[in-house]
Amino acid sequence: MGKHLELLQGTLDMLILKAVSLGPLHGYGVLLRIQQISGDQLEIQQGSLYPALYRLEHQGLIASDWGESENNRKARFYRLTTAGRKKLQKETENWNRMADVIGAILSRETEEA
Amino acid sequence: MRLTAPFRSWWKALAHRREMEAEVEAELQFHVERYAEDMMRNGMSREEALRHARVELGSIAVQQEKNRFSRGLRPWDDLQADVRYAFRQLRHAPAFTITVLLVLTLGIGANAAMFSIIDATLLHWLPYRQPSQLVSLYLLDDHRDISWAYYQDLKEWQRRSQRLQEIAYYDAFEGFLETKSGQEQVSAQSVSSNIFSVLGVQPERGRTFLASEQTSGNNKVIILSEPVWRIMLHADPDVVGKTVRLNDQPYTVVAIMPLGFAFPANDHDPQVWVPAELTPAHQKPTLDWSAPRYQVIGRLRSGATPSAAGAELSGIEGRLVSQYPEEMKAELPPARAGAMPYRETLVKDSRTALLALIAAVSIMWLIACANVANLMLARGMARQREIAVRGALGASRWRVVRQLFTESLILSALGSAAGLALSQLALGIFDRTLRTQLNLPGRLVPNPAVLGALLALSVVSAVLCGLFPAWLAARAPLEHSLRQSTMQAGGGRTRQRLQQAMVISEIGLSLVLLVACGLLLRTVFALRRVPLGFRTDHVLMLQPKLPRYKYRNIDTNRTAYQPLLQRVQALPGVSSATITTLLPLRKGFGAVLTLNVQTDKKSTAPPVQIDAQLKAAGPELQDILGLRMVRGRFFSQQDTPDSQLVAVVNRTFEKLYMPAGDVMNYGIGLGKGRLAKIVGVIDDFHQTSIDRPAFPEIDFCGPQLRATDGVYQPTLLAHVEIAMRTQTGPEQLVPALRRTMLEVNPDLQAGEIQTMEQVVEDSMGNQLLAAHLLEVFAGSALLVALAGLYGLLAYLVAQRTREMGIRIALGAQRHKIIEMLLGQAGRLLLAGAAMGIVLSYAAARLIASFLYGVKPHDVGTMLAVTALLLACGLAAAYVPARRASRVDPLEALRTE
Repeated sequence: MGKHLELLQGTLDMLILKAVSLGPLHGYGVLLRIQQISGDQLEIQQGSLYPALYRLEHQGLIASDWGESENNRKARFYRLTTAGRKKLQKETENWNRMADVIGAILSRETEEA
Repeated sequence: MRLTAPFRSWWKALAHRREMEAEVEAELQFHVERYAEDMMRNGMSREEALRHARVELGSIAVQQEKNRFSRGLRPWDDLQADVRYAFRQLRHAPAFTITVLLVLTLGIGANAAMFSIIDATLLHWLPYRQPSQLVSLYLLDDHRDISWAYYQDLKEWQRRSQRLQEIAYYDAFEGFLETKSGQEQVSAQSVSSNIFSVLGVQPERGRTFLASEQTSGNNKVIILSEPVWRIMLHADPDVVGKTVRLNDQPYTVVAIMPLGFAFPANDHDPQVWVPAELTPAHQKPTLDWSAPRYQVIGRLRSGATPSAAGAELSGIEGRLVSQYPEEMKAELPPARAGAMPYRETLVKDSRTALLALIAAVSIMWLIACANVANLMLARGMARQREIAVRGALGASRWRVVRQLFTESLILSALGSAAGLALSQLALGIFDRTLRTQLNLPGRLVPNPAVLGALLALSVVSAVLCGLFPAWLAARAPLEHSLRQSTMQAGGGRTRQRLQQAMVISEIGLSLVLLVACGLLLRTVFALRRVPLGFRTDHVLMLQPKLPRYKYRNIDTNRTAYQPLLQRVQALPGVSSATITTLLPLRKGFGAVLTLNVQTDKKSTAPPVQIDAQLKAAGPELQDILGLRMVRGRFFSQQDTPDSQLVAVVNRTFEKLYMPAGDVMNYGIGLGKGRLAKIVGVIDDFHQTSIDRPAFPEIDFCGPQLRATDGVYQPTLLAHVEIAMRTQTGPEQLVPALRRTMLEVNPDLQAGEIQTMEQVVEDSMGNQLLAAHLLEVFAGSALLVALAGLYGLLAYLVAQRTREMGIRIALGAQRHKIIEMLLGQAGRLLLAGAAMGIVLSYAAARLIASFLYGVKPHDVGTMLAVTALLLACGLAAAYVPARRASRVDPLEALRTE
C-alpha cells in the first residue's frame, strides 16, 4: 500500500454522495467503493463514516432501506435522492472550479516582471 | 422535500428511539463483521479481525451519540438531561422546593382566580356575532343620567345615522308562562323584529320575527330560549308552530334560540321574546311624557367608534329636541344622546371593584416572585461550588444558566398546576357571593383564554424569579468559588444588596395590601356601627309577588294583601305586622313627590324644591322597626278611615322645610278636599343604603287611604311589603308564612321572605366582598413576605455560623448577637415599611370609593398596620437570630 492521503475537511459528504450515486450501497460498501475508486489512496476514518451518513439522511440527500447483502445478510442500503443528486451536481461543479483556480494559482511559475 | 426530511427524521428519532438505536446497532454490527471477514481473508484470525474492526469503528455507544447529534437531536437530549437533573436537584432540597411551590401556588392561584373572574366579566364572552360592534344607545339628561329613548327618536336615529348599521330596541315585562306544573315566571322581552339580525344570531329552529309581526293582530308570536324549551316545555321536539300561553294570552312559537344565547346578556333567568307591538301611541306625531320608550342596541359600521356614533346621534337628537313640546324641552339639554359598548353596560358597576382586585392580585404575585427569586438566589449561592465544578468540567455559562432556568421553569409549572387547583377551590367557595355581587353567569370554569394567561404567567414568573439569579450564579468567577468552601463564601456584595432590595420591596408591597385590607375592615366596621335608626332583630319582611297581568285592574291591596296581612297577624309567633310600601335598605319601588315650597310670600326668589319619598304604612311599623319620634306622634289605631287624615315626615324633611315654618302647622293636600295633617316628625334612618344619608320622606297612614286618593296608586298599588316583628327567631316562621301565602292565594307563591338582618348584610355587599377578598390576599401576602424574610435571615445566619462561632469564642455575649442580627433585620423592615407607606398613599386612592367612615389616608390604620408588620417581621427574624446565638463555637469552627 502506498502512502494514504488525508481527507480534506468537508469532502467526505461529497464522496459519499458520489459513491451512492453509482448505485445503492450499505455503509461498508460506501467505504469500499471510495477506497476502490481512489485506488486505495484515500483513507477514511471509519468512525466518521456513519455520522456523515446519518447527517446526509437527516438532510434528505440520501435515503435508506433495509435489504439483503451480497452474502444474504440484512444490511441498510443507501441511495441518492433527487435532492441529493442536485446537491452532488452543484458540489461537483464547485469543486472543479475551485480545483482549477487553486491549481492555476499553484502552478504559476515565478513572477516575470 | 428538503424541509420535510429533517422533520421526518426528528420524528422517527423522538418517537421510535429504541427502534432507531436497534437499527444503528445492527448496521454497525454488519459493518464490523464484513470488515472482519475481509481482514480474515488476508490471514488474520477471526478474533483479532473482529477486535481490530471494532477499534477502528469506535464504540457503539459513541456512534449512537454521534448519530443523534447528526440528526440534530442534541438540544432535545440536553433538555431531557436538564429536566432530569432539575428534578433530582429539587428532590434533594425538599424544604426549598416545598416553600417555593407553596409561594408560587398562592401567587399564581390568586391570579388564576382573578383571571377567571375578569374573563367572565370585563372581557365577557357574549353570544353574539362580533359583539364589539354592539353599542347601547340612550338619552342623557342634565346630570348625565341615562334614560331610555323615545320610540319616535330612535326611528329618526335609524333613518339618519351613517355610523350605525342597524338599530334594535327592547323592553322587559313580567311574564308568566303556562306549563304543565302551572304558571312559571319567565323573563320576557318585547323586542323590535330586527333584534336577532342586529345581534347576528340565527335561531336553532324556526325563524326570527317578521316586521309585520309588530303590528296589532299579528303580534302573538313568541321565540323561546333553549332553557325555557328544554326545562319548562320538556324539550317538546315539535314545539315550533304550537301555541303556548304567556300571561294568559295565546302565542304561536316561531323559533327556539340556540343553547347559550341570552339577551339581555346579564339576565340569567329563562327568557322569551315577543314582538314589540306598535300601538297608536307609537305613531303620534307629537311627543309627550307618556310616549313609549325603549332600551336601544345598535350595531356599528366597521370602523365607527361608539363615541363617534354618540356624537352623531346627539346631532340628530339636537334637531329633534327643537320639535319637542315646550314643557319637555325645558327639561332636556341640547346634546343628549350617548353610545357605550354593550359589553361595558354590563359591567360598569363592578369595574372599580375588579380593578382594585386586579391590583391586589398583581401585588400579591409580585411579592411571590420576589420571594421565590430570593430563595433561588440563596440557593444559587449555596450551589456555587457545584456550579463552579460544572463550569470547570466544561459546561458553558449558557448551559449553566439554562440548567438553572429549567429548574425554575419546572417549579413554576408545578406551581401553576397547583395554583389552578387552588383557584378552582377558591372560586367554588366564593361562588355564591361572586355571582350575586358581580352578576356572573353560572359557574366559573377555566377556558382556553384563562389557561393561556396562566401559562404566560408561569413562564413570566419563571423568568422573573429564575433567570436573574441563574445569570448571577453563572457569572461568578470559577477559581474564586472553587478555592473557597461553601460555608465561607460571602456571596458577593451585589448579591447581598439584591437580596436585601427584594426583601425590602416584598415588605413594602405587603404593607400596601395590609393597608388596603385595614381600610376596608375599618369600613365594614364603621358600616356595622352606623346607627341605622331602626331595629333589625326579630324583624321579618315578606314581599308578596303577584302576576301583574292577572291583577292589572284589580286593587291588589284590598283583594290580596289585606287578607294576607290579617292571616299573618294571626300567626302564632308574630307579635305585630303591617303593610308598608317602603322598607329601609330595600331596592324596591319608590315614589318621589316634588314639592315647591315658597319661603316667603313676598320674596321673588324661586321656590325651594323638595323631593320627598312617599310611603304608606300602618301604625304597627313604629313598633316593628323601633322608629323614634323627634316630635309629635306616629300613626295609631285611632287613625281610622273615618278620622282626620294624618301624615308624618322625617327630620330631613323638616329641616328642608324649615324656611317655610314649622311643618307641624301644615298639611298635605290629597285632592278632593282631603288634607292630611302632619302630626309628627320621625328620626332619620338610612332608607336606601347604609353609606348614604337619609332622604326627605312623607309617610301616610295606610289604613286611612282611599283608592281615590292621588297617593294611593304610587304607594299601595305599586309596591307592597309586609313587615312583622316576631317573638322567636325570625327564620322559624318562614315555613308557616309560605303555607299561609299559598292558602290565602295560590298566586302569591312567588313571594320573597327575608330577615331584616339579611337585608342589612346585603346592603353592605360590595364592601364585604372586597374586604373578604382583601383579607385573603393581604393575609397570604403577609405570610409570603414573612416566609421570605425568615428564609433570607435563616440563610444568612447559616452562612455566618463560623463568624458567630468566632465571635462567641472571642467572648461576644449571646444576647449581643441576637441584638445585632435583629438590628439588621429591623433595618430591612423599616426600609420596607417606609417604601410601603409611600406606595399605600398612592394605592389608597384606588379603593377610596369603597371606603366609608374612614379616610383613604387614615393615619391610625397606617400606623397599626405598620406596627403589625414590624412585629411579625421581628418575630420571623428572632428564630434564626436565636439559633445563631446558640452556636457552639467548637462545633462552628470544626465545620471546616
